[in-house]
Amino acid sequence: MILHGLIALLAAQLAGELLCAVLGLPLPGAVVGMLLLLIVLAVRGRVTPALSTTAQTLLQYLPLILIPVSAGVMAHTALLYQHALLLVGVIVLTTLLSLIVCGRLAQALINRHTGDRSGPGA
Amino acid sequence: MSLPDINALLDASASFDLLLTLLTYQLGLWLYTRSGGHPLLLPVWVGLVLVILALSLLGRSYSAYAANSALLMSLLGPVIVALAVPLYEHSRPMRQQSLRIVAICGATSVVTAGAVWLLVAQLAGGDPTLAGSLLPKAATTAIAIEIAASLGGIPALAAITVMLTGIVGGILGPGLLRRVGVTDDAAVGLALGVSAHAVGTARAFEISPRCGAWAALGMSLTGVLLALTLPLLGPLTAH
Repeated sequence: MILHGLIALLAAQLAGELLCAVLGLPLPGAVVGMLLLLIVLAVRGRVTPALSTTAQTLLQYLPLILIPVSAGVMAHTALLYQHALLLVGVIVLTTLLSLIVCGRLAQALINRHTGDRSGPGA
Repeated sequence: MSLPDINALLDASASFDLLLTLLTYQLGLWLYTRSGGHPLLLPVWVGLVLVILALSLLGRSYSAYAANSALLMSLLGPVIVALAVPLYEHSRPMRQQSLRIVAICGATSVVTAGAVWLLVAQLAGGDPTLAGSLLPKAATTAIAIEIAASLGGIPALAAITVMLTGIVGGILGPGLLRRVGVTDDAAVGLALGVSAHAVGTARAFEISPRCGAWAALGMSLTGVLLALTLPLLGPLTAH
């Protein structure tokens, strides 16, 4: 089961990487691979059980996979200390800004269609 | 055996480093469950801090640890592709509204990225390394890592930025949204997913399943939108 799904995921990733290389797109190959897989799913109209199982299993361990990459900050401690205040400030401010902008936009669309509770602008 | 010998031994085989990552993550999971899911005790956070602490105490280099962790890191690509499955499943019921939702996610991303750009320009002279690491902050960590690399940022710094963003949005988000008059669960969910990805989505599912579904959709869409647009800026350079 998990092997079939992994083959599909790796094939989509490879196709994405090849497409980016051939077309000279400066995009991450894996993201293009994800879009290719999304198109295949939309065309077929369903997710096979094998793919569903593999995707769920892999995504469950995503945080674990991120630890080795993220630990790379230990090689940049000087930069981190030098800009700690700026980093935290920018992160907090822009996250709050994003929440307000997105929340208000979605709420405004819903209010325009009052009476329908299914979602933004339904 | 002297200490340099032990370090050479640990560098030469992946067993210690893989065990270190798995054990600290497992400890993080345990703490997270015990704390009732506190956003400050995210397993990835606890695991990350303990791994860095252990490597520092042993006097080992990150490059040796990274080389030994190739098995885990090579899964990053397939995991990004796997995001297509939840995106497909969450977007299917909302197909008729897809244009409006994409427009909201896009507009929010433009405003947020613009604000990041302005702040870095004003406060750090537009430092390209900082800008490249901060710009993808609204994308899921896995995608942000790829975007940061293409912008000339530091992937690890982008990952930390994304995690902090999730914590800030997850803790402050629901209260802030209520205060600014965002009351509908769909709007709250979308805002949490677009602004605070996985942590925001987990918080949204605590509010209601409908709130969570919208958050999951917002998170996936924002990740894709950022991944398809930001890298087109190419490697950022100092002015």
